[in-house]
Parts: sequence; C-alpha cells; structure tokens
Amino acid sequence: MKIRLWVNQIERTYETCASKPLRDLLFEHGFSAVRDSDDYEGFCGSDTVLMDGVPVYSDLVPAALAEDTYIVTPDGLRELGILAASGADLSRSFFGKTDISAEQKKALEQALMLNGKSGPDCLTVVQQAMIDAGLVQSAYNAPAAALMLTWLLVQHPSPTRDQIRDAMSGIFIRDAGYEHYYLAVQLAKEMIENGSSSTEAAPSFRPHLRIVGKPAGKVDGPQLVRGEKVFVEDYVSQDACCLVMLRSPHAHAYIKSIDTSEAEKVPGVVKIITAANCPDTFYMQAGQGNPEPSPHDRRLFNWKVRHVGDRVAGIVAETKEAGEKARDLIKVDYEILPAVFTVEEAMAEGAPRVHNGIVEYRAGAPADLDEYNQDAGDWRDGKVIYQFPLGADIHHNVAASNSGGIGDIEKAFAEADAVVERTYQTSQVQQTPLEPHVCFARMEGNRLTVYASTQVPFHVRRIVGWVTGLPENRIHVVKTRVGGGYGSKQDILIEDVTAYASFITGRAVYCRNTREEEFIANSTRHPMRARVKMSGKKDGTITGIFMEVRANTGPYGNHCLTVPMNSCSKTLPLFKCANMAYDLKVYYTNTPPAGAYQGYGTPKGTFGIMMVMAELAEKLGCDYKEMVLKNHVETGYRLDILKGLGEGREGNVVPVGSCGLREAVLQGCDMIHWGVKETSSDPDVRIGKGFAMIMQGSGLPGLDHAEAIAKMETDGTVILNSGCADIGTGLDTICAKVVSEIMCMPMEHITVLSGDTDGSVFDTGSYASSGTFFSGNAAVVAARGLKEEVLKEAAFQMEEEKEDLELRMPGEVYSRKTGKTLSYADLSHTACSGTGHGTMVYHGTFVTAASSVPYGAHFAQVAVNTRTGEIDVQKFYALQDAGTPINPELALCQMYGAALKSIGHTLYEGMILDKDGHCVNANMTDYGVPMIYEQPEDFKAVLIDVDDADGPFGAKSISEIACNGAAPAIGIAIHDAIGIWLQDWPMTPEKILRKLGKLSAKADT
Amino acid sequence: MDGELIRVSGFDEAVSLKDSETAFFAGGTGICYKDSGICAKKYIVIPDEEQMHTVTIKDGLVQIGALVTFTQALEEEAVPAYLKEAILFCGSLQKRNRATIGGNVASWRSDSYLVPTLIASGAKLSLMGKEGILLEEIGQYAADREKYSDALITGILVKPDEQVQILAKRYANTVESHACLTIAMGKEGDTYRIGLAIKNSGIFLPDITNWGISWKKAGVQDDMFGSEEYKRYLTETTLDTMYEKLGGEGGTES
Repeated sequence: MKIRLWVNQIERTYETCASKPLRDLLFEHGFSAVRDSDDYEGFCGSDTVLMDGVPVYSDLVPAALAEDTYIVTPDGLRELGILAASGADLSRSFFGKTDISAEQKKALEQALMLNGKSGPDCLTVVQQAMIDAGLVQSAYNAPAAALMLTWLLVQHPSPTRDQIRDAMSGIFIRDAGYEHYYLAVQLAKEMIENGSSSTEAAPSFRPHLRIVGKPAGKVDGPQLVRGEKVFVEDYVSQDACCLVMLRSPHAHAYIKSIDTSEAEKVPGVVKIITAANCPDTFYMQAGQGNPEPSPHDRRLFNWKVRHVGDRVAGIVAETKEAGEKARDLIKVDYEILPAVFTVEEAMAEGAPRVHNGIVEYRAGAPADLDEYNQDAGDWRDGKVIYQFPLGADIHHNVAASNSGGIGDIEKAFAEADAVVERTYQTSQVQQTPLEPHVCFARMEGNRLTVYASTQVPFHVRRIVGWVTGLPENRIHVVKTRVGGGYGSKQDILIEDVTAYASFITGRAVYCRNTREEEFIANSTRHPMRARVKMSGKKDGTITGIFMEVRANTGPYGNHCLTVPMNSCSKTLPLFKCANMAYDLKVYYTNTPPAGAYQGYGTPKGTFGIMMVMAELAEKLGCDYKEMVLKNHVETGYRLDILKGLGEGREGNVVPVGSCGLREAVLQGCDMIHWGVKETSSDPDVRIGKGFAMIMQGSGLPGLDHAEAIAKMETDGTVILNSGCADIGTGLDTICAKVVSEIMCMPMEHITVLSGDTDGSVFDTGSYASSGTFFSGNAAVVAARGLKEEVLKEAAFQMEEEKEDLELRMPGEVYSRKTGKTLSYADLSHTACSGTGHGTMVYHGTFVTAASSVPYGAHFAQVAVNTRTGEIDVQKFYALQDAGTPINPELALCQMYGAALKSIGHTLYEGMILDKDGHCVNANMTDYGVPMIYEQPEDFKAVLIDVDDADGPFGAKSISEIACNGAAPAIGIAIHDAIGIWLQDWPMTPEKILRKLGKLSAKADT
Repeated sequence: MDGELIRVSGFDEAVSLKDSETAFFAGGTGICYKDSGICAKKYIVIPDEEQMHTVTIKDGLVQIGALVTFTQALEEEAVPAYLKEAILFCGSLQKRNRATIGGNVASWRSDSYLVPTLIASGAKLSLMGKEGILLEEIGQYAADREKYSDALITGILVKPDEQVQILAKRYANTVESHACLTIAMGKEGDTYRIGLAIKNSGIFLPDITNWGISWKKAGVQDDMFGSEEYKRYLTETTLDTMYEKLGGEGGTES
C-alpha cells in the first residue's frame, strides 16, 4: 500500500506493507536516528518519534496507522529548529493540531530555539544542553532523549522533576545515568530565558589550566546528539548481504553431521559457512594484548557446540529473510552430551569435559604434555592452545588458575581476636549496550575493510588477520562511533565471522546481533564464587585476608585468568595488611559465554571483601568506619601483594601513588550522616546505611601501549592521528583538550582522528580503564613533541633562539626577547612552501611501568520492607578520586551510569538459565535494567580533587571503578537496616524474606 | 507482528470478521510487542469511532471507551483515582500513549496493569459480539473467557471513587519489568473483591468469603519471577495489609 505522511514537516509518500513497523519504514528512508535497540520490544526507546505530537515507540506502530500523520524524528530536530526560527507553523508536528494557544506557540518556539551557533555546531538549545550536561556519551539514544526533552518543554515550559522523569520514563540510558537529565532541562531553560546558561554542569579543576579540567563539551557531541549517521549500521551499503547465524539448541553436543544442501538452494543464499568449510585456525575472541592470557580454544565454527546459542552455521544471503529461510532448512544431527553449568558441577569428579581436545603451548609447555594429551577425547573437541601457562587443566574443566600471597596468613588467622569467613556468589549479568554487536565488512580491491563497533580496532585487525590469513596491511578496521560497549565490545564476537564471510565471498556483508543473541552468544560478567576470610584484632587492625575465587568462564576462555585476578588485584591492595593470600580457579562450563564487563572482576571481589570486613567489624565490636580508616592504604604504602597478580606474568610492585580514598570516606560519611539512625513512618520499613571502599587501575602498566601522531596542517591547525578508541566516553575530547592546552590553541583548531587502523598508529585499545591514562598520555607526548618541532621551526624562521620563544593563545609563537610573534598559520605555510623544513609532525608513544590508581567510596541508604522484602535505595553517593578529571561533566555522568548499572546488578539483574542451559530471560523486559524510575531519589556523584604524578595533567581513570561499590554498600546497608547478611547477587525480596525466616530456607528460584 | 492488518467500515464488520484466526488491534503495544504471544493471520483494526475515545458518566458509572489510551485516561477528570493509579503501573510514557484501556483488558495478561484493579472495583465491560451488545460484569467475563473470545470490548464501566475503595500493589523487579504479582482489593459497602494477576500463572478472582479454599485452588507456579511459596506469601501478606487498611478484621489467616 501507499501511505502519505509528513516527516519533519515534509510531505512524503511511501510504498509499504501495512503491518511493517513505522520504525523500519522511517529507517529505510534515511531517518537513521530512529534506531532499534530491543527488536520491537518497546523498551529502550531508541525508536521514539512524535506522531501528531505524541511520543510513541515507532517499533510498535504499524506503518499503515501513521497515514496522514505528522511525524517528528530525532534527527529532524535541528531542521525543525531552523524552520521554527523562520516562523514556520509546526503545530501539527508537536500538538497534532493547528489551533494552538499563544502560550503553546511560544513554548514551541522556545523549545526549538537554536544555540546561536552556525554550521555543524548549530543545535537546538535542548541538544546543546545535553552536551553541556555531559549526557552525550555513547549516544545511541541521545537523539531520542533530545526529542523527549524537547517535547517536554513544548508541553511544560517549566517542568517539575516528576514531569522530567515521566518524559524520560521510556528511554533507557546505560552509560550516563539519568541524573543529569534534570540538569539538562535546567540548562536548556536558562538558554531559552537568558540566551546562555549559568548553572555549572560540573566543577572545574586546576585553575592554572585553560581547558583541561573544565566542562567544555565533547568534540563529537553535536553530530551524536543530532543523530547523524555515525554508527556501523549507517555505513552499510545497499548491496550488502546479511549474515544470519544458526545457533545451537543444545548446551553441549557434538555435531555428527550437518546438511546444508536444501538451504543452499534458497534463492539469495550466497554461502553457508560451517565447521566443515571454515579455516582450521584456533584463536580466541578476547581483545587483549598479544600474546593473550586467554586460551585459543575455538575456531570460527566448531564440531562441538558448548552452549545454547553457540555458532553452528553462518548463512550469507542477499536478504535477511533468505538467510533465515535457509537457516531453517539446515539439518544438523547432534550427539548430545551431558553439560555443566556451575563451577560446582564443573569441578565435580568425573564431570563432563567442556574441552577435551589436544592441549598445546606456544611457550612454557609442561614436560608431561604428551602424556596429558593421551587422555584427549574426540577429534571434534578441537584444541586448546595456551600462549603461555595459565595453570590450566582442561581435563578437570580448569581453564586457568593462580595462587599466591604475602606474609603468613595461617599465623595471622591463628593469632587473631576474630575471624570471619564467608562465601559470596555473583550472578551472570549482561552489558546490554543499546547498540547491539554490529559489523559491516567489504572487500576493496585486495583489501578487507571492516566497520566495527569496537573498543579494540587493532586487536580486531590482528584476529581478523588470523581468521582470514590476510596480513595486517591488507586489513583496514574502521572503528565507528560505538553505541555502548562496557567491555562487551572489547571482544571480537562478530567481527571475525563477518570479515571472513566478506573475504571468502567477495561480497559486502552485514551482521547485527538480535537482542536475544546479545544475551546468549556474547560476553557477560563471569559468575563467581568468592570465599573470603578475614582476621582482625580488637583494636580494629586487620591482620589477614584470604580470597578463594572460583569463576565460571562459560564455554570459552575469554579473559579467563585476568577477570578473576582482578577480583584480588583490585581489592587486596586497598588494605594495609601484611598477610594476604589468594587462590583462584576458573572453570569451563556450558553457560552462555563470559568475558570482559566494565569493572572486570573487581565488583565481585569488592563485594566479598567489603562485606566480610563489615561483618568482622561487628564481630570485633568496632565501628566499621573507624576500621576502614585504620586499615586503608595511603600514599607511599608499598603494595607487595601485586607481585603475583599480574596479567599472566609477574605484576608490578609499586607504592601507592596519589590516593583520595580517605577523603572520599570522610566526605561520604558526612554526606550520609554516618552513625545517625534513620527511621521510617511505616512500621514495616527499616532504614540502614552502608559504604564500601573501591579502587581500580588506569590501564595495564608494562602491557598497554598507546601512540599518537600530532601534525600541523599548512594553515596552522592540528590533526592528531590517535590509535585510541573513543567508545563514547570522550577520549577524543581528552586528546583534543591536552593538545589544545599544550599547543596554546583553540579546541576548534584541533581534529582528532582515531580508531582507524589505516590512519593511525598502534594502541592496545579502550579497556582496563586505560583510555585517559594511556591514550591521553600518548596525545600529551605527541603534542609536547609537536611543540618542540614548532619552536624549532619558528626559531629558524624568526631567526631567534628557541629558548627565547614560547607558544601563546590563540596559536602563535612569541619571542620574549624581541616581542615578535609568528602565527601557526604563517609558520606552517612557510614550512611547507619550499623554503622551510616541511610539515611539523611528532609521533608520540606512551608506555609506562607506573600505575595511577583511582580510589573512592560509594555510600547507600536503603529502606527495607520487612513484610514484603522490598528494597528501596533511597540515597546513593559515589565519591571518587579521578585525579584531574579532564572532562568533569562527562566524568560525573559516567559515575552515575556505572553506579546505577551496578545497583541494577545488585538488586535484580541476572541471566536465568533453565536446566538445559537456555536463558529464559534473554530480553530487556524480563532481564530488567534500571530505567529512570529505578534511580535513587537522592543520587550524587562527587569528584575528589587529587592530582596525580603520572596521568595526563594528573588524570586517572573514572568510570570502571564506579561499578565496584554498589553491591557491598547496599549489602552492608541492608544489614544495618534489618540485621541480615546477604551473600549473593541479586539481592532480591525473596532472598530477604528467606533470610528473615518468612519463607522456608530452601534454595531460591 | 506477522499477519495482515485490515481496516473495516464499522463495528458490525469488525465483529463479523472475528474468528479464531483473527485478533482485534487497538493501540498495538501488546500485539506488536515481539514476545506478545499473540499470533493471528489477520488483525482487525478496531473502528475509530468517537464513542471508543470518550469518557462519559452515565447512570453513576464512568464509561470509558475501549480505545481511550492510558495517557488520555490519566488526563480525564472523570476517571477514578484508583484506576489512574493502576494505569501508572505502566511506567513508559511512550507505551501509555498507545496502550488502550480496552486493549489491556482484552489481552488478559497475567502481568496486566489494569485487570486486578478492574476486578476489585467490580467493573463492567461493554461487549459487542455476533449476538449483539452485552454488558457483562468483569468477573463473569473472567469466568468464561472462551465465550467472549470473539467479542469486541467497546467500553469499560467503572465506579467512581466515592462508591468503592481500592488498594492496589504491583510487584516487579523494575517499573518496566513484567510484574511478578499485581494485587488489588476493593471494598464496596460490606463487599470485598480481590483481583490477582500472577505472572505465568494467570488472573484470579478468589472469593474472600471462602478465601482458604479458593486461594488453595489457584495454580501458582515456580518460575523466574519467584517461587510459588514467595508468590503465595506475598499475596497473602499484601492482602492482609490491604484488608486491614480497608477496615476488615481477621485477614487471610482467618
């Protein structure tokens, strides 16, 4: 049928099927900001449009019902702002009618007011306010959020907090949280009323610096908030084939045979890839430095499936429909094997072996390897290749193990006044980035170009090279904007097979995970069991800590050693304790895969260690706060425990550097009125408070590596080619700011080109909280080098001594001796005009053995209903030492986002598997993630001002650490409220009721 | 949503086309939702007639057209506060803008936002079937859903706040999660009514005068939303609280 509608005030007629979702129709016709994050689930809100002035999920509206309506899409806002400024009548688009009042007309004009800037910086005030508030980060939903705030201001020019919350009620934000949406509305109102905003979006740091440490927007903010075509899906060419995956219905089975003959006959099918015709290359998908501390234990397609959702066949077809039809025709005969789903099952004597093939080592093979391999099973098990020993024993499902410690732990326990030993369990939680995993690959001549939403473009290139057999010079990885990663896009989960499919077919190939595939076939947080034992003296001194970690890596060993190591290496060093030990083992199982997730192993270790400490304080009769203050590390304390806690090699033993931990604890205690008991008017409700110390790292010293090339163009502007991968956190902005600061030139004269393996130099990528510290420092090194080149060339051109010259805003060289100036434009032009020395350029490389550790403390106040078990997090305060926060407004939002994410993990998030290993809640609604209604009513993020010696301009990492505090803070607060200690995530009402004895003590469902 | 979307000229045609392979289409939030469980060959778009979009007061009852959206109902002064409270169980504004009162009743989901409250309030449904127009107690509708499977809900008649006291509570992980349990208790004069929606178990109308037997008979299952024991405990304790608040004596124990 043909339908007519007005989209962003322009009449359009489309041929469509009546029941096609309006969202699909709009997206197909170029309105790419009408995105889909939930496969027509009506949850995330990426598909929000206004239909005759009413916000709706366009996924849930059949196109036919949009006939003769006025639609506003998020990417139309700026143009509508321009139209409004020219006096156009937009009443139908925003009110669904033309007879609107003068007040409504005024509200409409004001809500669409422009920010007074021109060209690409021209935005509506709402869009500008969102950037100013730090909300535009990975931004997959930012355009939809801007649309909702605009609609809100049209309807309610002075909205209340409740009205703002209601307007945002259908928009899911994972990265920045929701708190600054209230601020954005305030900023927009100020711009409307006064032409500019006066409320500070975040505090400023380092008065002596011009732009570093000040809220200054985000270099890619305008294009992101406008909804420009910046994500992988926006690069997909019309001729692209779809890659559709046939996945295993079984948790553990051999493929006896696979028959694709009928499927291949389906018109449009180009190629079907299976275990029978894929390369016999074993690799792994973890995006880690090479050689990786993860075993190479998989091929593109295996003869053995190891989890429900494992790859069985990849169908390359002209259309998705053809691919799905073919998928249904593939006949697979499985030999079903018994499966294991928990570490307890995996470690049991005689447990089924998840991997039972030949074991190889690239280095350090044990002497008895041949003997070990004589016990290998069926050839279909393939191989497990270790780059170096990880303490593995696959015959007992052990993927990796490690142990170590300092001092005499047993003596410490024996001599202590009290010892507490508890076991904590954490669930399998999913990153749920709004943009699922997507990849587009195509051959260009003899080169393979891969558009990837990735945190690790150079690791993608390496692994695609392994799979295809292509050398790196023939692979070009383009990191587009990333619509949310949180660790899940550190792994190469679909780029490998998409790139290979393009390589062997010569066709452009597009692959996009469904939301269900995100749950069952991607990475998740490793479920973990941590037994923590802690001893202390009556005066509150902690004398010994032991952590036994048993982690579940699922079917493949991505990050299998390093995630559990983090549980210890980012928790034990919080304590000044001479006796500490750890013992960790990681088991293969048949659950959906685990991998990297923001916080890595630290949230789980922090949960156990802080909960035990609180319980020990109670047992010793000490005040928990005083015990924390007595035992936490301080600057200069030597961290001997780190020696054994490297990433598969010896760790760096370093003293504690800058440390804002004590200040975070003290300030947080003041804020939450620690020690003051709160009461509720409801007799069933008890209120309690808790807090936890937290720490993380800033990259991996001695392993991570970042490079950048700073180049002055002929007009005096600068392009920084950085290997960094900005995943929405503002890393490009950090690089631009440090260059601006060092080169004394405006931000707008600097462009950062990053994440493109052809156009930039090597960087390990954005993971392990390395971005600011490593890539930011590489930009500093490059800029300082460029500064030297500029001074050298200027000395030549000005015929002065270099030592007499300095750089000045807005981009000129000044002679202190003669008072002469030379603009960068003139300098650079001359340098390239036949008489100079050519382009001024500097290639900066940053590596270090130094470690800048961020610290903090998170506080919670909860109200627990003893009758129903319901938990309400009334207050949550996140206080963190991030060194110099280079982008303070973005930093605050990342703290809100990460903390809220972990509140979700603590209280309700968790994948649930049935007895056969099927995930029964593999969608957003059943899985449950925090929306704006779940945010604590009193939610604060506070940056503790601490300068750091090693970070760029004193900066440390910011967001990952914010995942670590919620579980112990809430757990301790629950105990303070009702006297029970919960020992596992999520802390559900049902568990509360069982602990309170209101339900039987049987296992929870 | 698979299946053909068809428009009709009026109620008669809509009702005449309804059979086991067709479904009525109201706001679409239930049907277009990918895991709706509703699968029809054809979807009959409910005729967009004025009476379906209006809220009126008639014979002391508030008559709400079936196509009145949640948002519209919240804006209507005549809609009782207790029903507005249930409407706000649906957190998402975008959903409330499309979801209709009639659609929510017709879908009869075990995590329904409105049905427990409507049961507790003793609401009536205006139905149009092949046999003509019916006005049916929602309890009767619940008791014989098969009988009304081809009938179109054209309106919902609810009592104003002055006639009935309602308490309702929804238990869910998050506002946007499916509810584990939605409970409502109503008091009208000396009469108490209970409406329960228990996820994956169904909608129940236990008889408060014969509570022990009727509640025992309710099939409540263990699932990812909680154990049977938990759901039963929560139901009982919540009803006890509600009963007490409504001035009752004894609670479920008695």
